[in-house]
Amino acid sequence: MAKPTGLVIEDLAKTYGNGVRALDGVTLHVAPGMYGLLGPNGAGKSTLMRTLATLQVPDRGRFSLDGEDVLARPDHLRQRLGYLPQQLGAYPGIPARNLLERFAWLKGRHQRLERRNEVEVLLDKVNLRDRAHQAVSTFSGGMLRRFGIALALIGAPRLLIVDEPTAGLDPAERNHFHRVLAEAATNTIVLLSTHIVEDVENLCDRLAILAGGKLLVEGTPASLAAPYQGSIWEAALERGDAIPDTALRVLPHPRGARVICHSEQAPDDRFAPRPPRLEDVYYLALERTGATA
Amino acid sequence: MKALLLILYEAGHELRAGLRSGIVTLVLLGLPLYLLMSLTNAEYMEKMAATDIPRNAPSLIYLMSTGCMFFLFFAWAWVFAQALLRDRQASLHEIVLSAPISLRSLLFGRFLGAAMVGTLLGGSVIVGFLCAPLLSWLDLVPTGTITAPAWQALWFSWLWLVVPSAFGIGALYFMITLRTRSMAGAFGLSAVLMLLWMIAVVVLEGGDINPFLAAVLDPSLFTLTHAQVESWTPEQKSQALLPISREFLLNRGLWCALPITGLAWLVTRVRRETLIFERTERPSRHAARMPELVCPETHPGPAQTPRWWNATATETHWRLRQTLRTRATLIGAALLVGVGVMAAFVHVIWHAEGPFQPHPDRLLPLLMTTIYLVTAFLVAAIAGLISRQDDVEGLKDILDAAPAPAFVRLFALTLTLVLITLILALLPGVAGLIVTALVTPESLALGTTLIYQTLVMAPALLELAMLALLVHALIRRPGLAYAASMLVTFTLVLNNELALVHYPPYKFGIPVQIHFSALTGWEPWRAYLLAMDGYKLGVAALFVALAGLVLPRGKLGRLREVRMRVPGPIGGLGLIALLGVIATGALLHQNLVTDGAYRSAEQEQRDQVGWERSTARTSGDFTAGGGELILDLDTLTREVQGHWRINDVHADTGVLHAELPPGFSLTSVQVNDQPASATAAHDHLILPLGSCADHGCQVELDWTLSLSGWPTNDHLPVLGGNQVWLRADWVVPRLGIDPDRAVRAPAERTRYDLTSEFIPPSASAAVPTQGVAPFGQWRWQLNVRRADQIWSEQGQTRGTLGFSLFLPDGAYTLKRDDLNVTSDPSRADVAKGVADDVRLMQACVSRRLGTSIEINDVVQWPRGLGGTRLAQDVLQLSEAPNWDVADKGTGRWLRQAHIAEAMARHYLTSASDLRRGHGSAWLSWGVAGAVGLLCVGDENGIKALRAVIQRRAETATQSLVNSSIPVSSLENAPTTGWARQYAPLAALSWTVRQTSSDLNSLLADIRHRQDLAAALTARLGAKPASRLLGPPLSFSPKGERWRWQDGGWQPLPSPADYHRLVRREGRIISVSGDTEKNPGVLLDNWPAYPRFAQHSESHDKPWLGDTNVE
Ligand SMILES: Nc1ncnc2c1ncn2[C@@H]1O[C@H](COP(=O)(O)OP(=O)(O)OP(=O)(O)O)[C@@H](O)[C@H]1O
Ligand SMILES: [Mg+2]
Repeated sequence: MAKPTGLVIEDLAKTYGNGVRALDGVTLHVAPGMYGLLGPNGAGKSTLMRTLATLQVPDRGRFSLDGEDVLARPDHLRQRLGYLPQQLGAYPGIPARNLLERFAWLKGRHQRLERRNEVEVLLDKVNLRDRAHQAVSTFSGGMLRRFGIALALIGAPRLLIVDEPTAGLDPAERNHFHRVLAEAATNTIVLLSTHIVEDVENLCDRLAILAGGKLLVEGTPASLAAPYQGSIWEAALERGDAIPDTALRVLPHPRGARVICHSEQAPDDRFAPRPPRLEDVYYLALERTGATA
Repeated sequence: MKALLLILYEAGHELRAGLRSGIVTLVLLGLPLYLLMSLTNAEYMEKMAATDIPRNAPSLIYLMSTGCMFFLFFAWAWVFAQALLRDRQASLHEIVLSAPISLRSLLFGRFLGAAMVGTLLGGSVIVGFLCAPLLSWLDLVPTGTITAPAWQALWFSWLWLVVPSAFGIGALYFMITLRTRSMAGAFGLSAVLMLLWMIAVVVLEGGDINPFLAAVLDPSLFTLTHAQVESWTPEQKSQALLPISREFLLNRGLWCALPITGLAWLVTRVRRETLIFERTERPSRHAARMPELVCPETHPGPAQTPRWWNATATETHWRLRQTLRTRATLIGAALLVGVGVMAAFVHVIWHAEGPFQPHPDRLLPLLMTTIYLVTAFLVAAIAGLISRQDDVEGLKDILDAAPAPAFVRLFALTLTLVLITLILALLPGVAGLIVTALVTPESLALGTTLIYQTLVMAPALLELAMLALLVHALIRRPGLAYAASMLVTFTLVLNNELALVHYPPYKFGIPVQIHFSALTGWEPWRAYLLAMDGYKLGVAALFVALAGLVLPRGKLGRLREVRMRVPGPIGGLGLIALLGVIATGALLHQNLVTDGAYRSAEQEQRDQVGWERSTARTSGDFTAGGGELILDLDTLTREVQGHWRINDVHADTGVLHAELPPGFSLTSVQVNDQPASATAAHDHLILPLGSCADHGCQVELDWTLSLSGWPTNDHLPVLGGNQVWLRADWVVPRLGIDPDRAVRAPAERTRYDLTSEFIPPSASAAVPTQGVAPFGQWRWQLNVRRADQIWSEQGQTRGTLGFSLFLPDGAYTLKRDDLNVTSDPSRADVAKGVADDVRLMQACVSRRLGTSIEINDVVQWPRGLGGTRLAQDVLQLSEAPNWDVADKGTGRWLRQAHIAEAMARHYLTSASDLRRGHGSAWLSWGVAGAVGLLCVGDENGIKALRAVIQRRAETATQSLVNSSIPVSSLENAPTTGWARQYAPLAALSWTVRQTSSDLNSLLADIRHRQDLAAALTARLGAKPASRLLGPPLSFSPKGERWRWQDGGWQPLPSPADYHRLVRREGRIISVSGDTEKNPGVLLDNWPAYPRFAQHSESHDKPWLGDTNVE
């Protein structure tokens, strides 16, 4: 039997010591390519990613990378992992290049020349070459994220887990970063968590929406949006206008609010149909569980 | 108003944060518990010179309160730095700092809160003392040893010692953290404070350079407290408050008022901006110089099969560079070496009892002990700092998720620590080499230095370093881990200072105690040292393995991780370490306990008690006519076989007693050719003689004695390879009862149900003061099998039986006229000076005693082998300090006094057939010592005499106030304690006025009566005789006179009655009256010693290091 490729997650559950059930039976198959994880704050995204990065053990369930059971052999995954956690502190007093190199040998790159080359390539990739002699602790927030991305890319990982990598990046850098990820994703499973639905929509082959530790929906952006074709309505309402109960989202704008509804028919004549967007799907999914913010 | 509220709010918040951190709980539990534990230990009390006073006496409160500042310095560093760094760690600092509140109030509030936490920590010792009555309630201490809390002293300590230090030192930490905004700044400061303490204690105070400055400069106030308490009598120790002197106030001003003022000033000037930003460092020169790398086109792709050992090496290299290339390291190392050099100068070269020559066997141990405490704390702190280096949010997770197995980073960390520890251990050696190169370049010993530092000092430091590593792996919260590791280090180091731990392998973190001597070389110590080192390394490796097993990775469960890691290299290391510890531990047990003479303090005391009980009933006068002793010593099997025929034994009680050397095992005993049964217990032989006891028995003893054990009580082994050094009493039973063996401390005596005071046996029942058998016609034969040859020596004497054997390897022998002086080759120069001194003193002593002292050989008697002794015609002159002193100076005079004293003692004791009975110390130590002092004066003049009297007087004062046994009368005092220091000075006044024929007729009288007190009374009358043998007396040049009573000096109504020592025609004589022209040395006609200096130009402190008396 051929081993399944990619990351296979089965029935993963995790309850923290304080009783919070952060993961509740998550089952997923992530193939090579970009995979987005969407979910509100506290949905369990970071928990899932930390678990996949072998930093904590699930209470239940299992997962495997390219057919290798990770819980039994965490080292197999670790050797193929790039991980960028949500928070990254600054290591005091040590230049970025120096730290990257250290990380390279901890990832098993023992040849000095290879190590040097890799670090230079990565520094170049994240636009940090000219600052690489500076201590990481003097970096700005965005530079620190970029540095983190370089850290995660060391060793050409098979599985790249990045937890909200673009937070704090300026638009140009964000764009640049997406390109870097997309490039990596040709042969790599990239698991990306974010709150920015648009990013997922543009970047990811597939995505999953997580809330309250449960997987709500999973699929390609298009396939997720398809069922709602013709049932999403939008209207621009003046300040003071009544907002229908069926409103999915209310977006403020200078003179009032833009309201988006989900129903078979237009709620009233102010509403016009609109093609379903991933954002709508996200809110619909959350609404169904009652987890809307 | 609002500002005040904010201050209170912030202070409360800070206090709660401190309480929650766990440090307060840890310290408030740990330190008092440790204190209580040490209070139950009698040995510790002895070390603190507190046998005569309650165990919770004020002096101990002061000493402990200031003593634990070393630990508190580190704990406070954390507490105060956290007050400023906590927000930053939570990335909240910008929010807090942008709040519309007064920055000054905020900072003051924080400081106040931290200071409250600090005082809580500082008060833990006081809490311990408050709990002390619990000990007597629980019956853990002998009754009466703990009294009601000394409230006044406790309040005093709290108000003057703890609170000002917490606030003042805290202000310093606060300031440095405001400036550096890092933990490292605060820790750096604590290291500086430790260093200052060291300079104060070791250099300024220890070297008599400026005790005033020392008292002021020492941030812990320990120097001042210690100097004060040391000069107190037991009475003062249990009542007095520390005097608030000028230096006391200056100290508090410097370390409390000044820092708080500084802080107030700084807080008004600090701006929010400076608190927000990281300190930017200039890019390192290395980085700036880095050549512009050409960016390669392609990424090298995934890493191939990793080589983790390779990664370990790279990681180690990286860590080392990070740690060693900092400026702080360089400065720290330079400072430590600098302090070492200073310590060497003051303790060796400028020493008040020197000057000494910086021979490595004197210099290296001295440097190690002076620098050890600071190094120990430094090692623990560094271990913590570098093992916490990766604790950066997020980055830690990245590292934990990396494929490198746990051992890679752990082993790299360990290796780095090992190297840093080694460097730290070598620093005192570097200081030693510098001093030697400056002073006596010809005695540079690079190899010895290297071996000493790496084999003696480094292993103990490694234990501490790895223990700190383990603590940090076990405790995730960094603050708690720092505090815990410092507390552990503190207790381990203190365990040794306070003699709480005896068994050498259990002395964790304490260097192996050996007495290296250039004469013996490493040979005698080699096996022991290597076994101890192996054991210590095993323990250190075990700590590393345990740390590796419990080291957290991400949030993975510890147990699961432990199970995963056990089969890997970490488990392997653990297994090897465990096997190593077991193997070396077993080896040590075999050689120390099974084959050696090691006994726990408790066991030793029980032996003493058992000895007293069994000897009390049957002790009685005895004599022996003489006999023949044959000893066969095999250096290969390390065994001695003894056969001793003793003729004409008379014993009043029909029982012959003998004290046995360790390792003794009786094989057969015969009385008048009939097998007899004897009991050998508590190192004592009791042989019932039967009916022949009245008219004389012939006793034959056969025994074997094993010398294969390792040294205990850091006593040099008797055999080292081919070398032999032996004294008769180490291998032959000493006939009689030795009163010096008795337990003297009253509390201990009550504990064991002994009579409240020890009643010594009569002189005729006691052992001879020197040698193994009292006066008789003795013959002995010694056969030593050494490699393939047998070396034999025979001798005979009409006197006490005592002999020694000394067969060194590769020694140098100087022949001067008919005197042979044997020393190690590096002391060939010293040998000449020694030969001169011996000849000079021989003539003087012979003249003063009206005899002819015979000496043909002088040998350097290695360190750790006991004191100087003249046996037959061989003078065994102890190495420390006699072979270390330079050619000129007080040290040389002291050596002459010492040599003359040994000669005089030999003559006085053998001519009077003196035994260790009532008052023997007066003759054997007192008169002999006085003769020694007088001979220095005879040969060198009054200035020299004054100098040696001055030194001896200070030593005597110290030994009296710090006596570990209650000071009673000279008559009943054991000859091992204060009597040795006091008796020579007290006997001086009497001795100087005796002619040699007076002395000789007294000796004959003592020999005849076998009762020293009676002989003295018969000559001098009851009153003067009882003064000579009574409790210590002292006088001052102002005419006051004191007697020691109830643990203190009590003034006497009668004023001192002076006479003077002057030198006329090469001889010190006594003249009465006050002749201003001729100052001389003022003495009291009573046997009192000059407790205060007669000339104010010197106020040296005595040096209480090696004693060279036996
Ligand atoms: N170490 C922890 N101990 C206890 N509870 C935790 C821990 N870490 C996370 N949680 C809880 O688990 C739940 C999921 O948290 P998680 O960090 O995985 O969410 P998230 O999806 O990453 O949220 P966000 O988008 O805000 O980063 C939350 O309710 C959180 O409070
Ligand atoms: Mg998250």
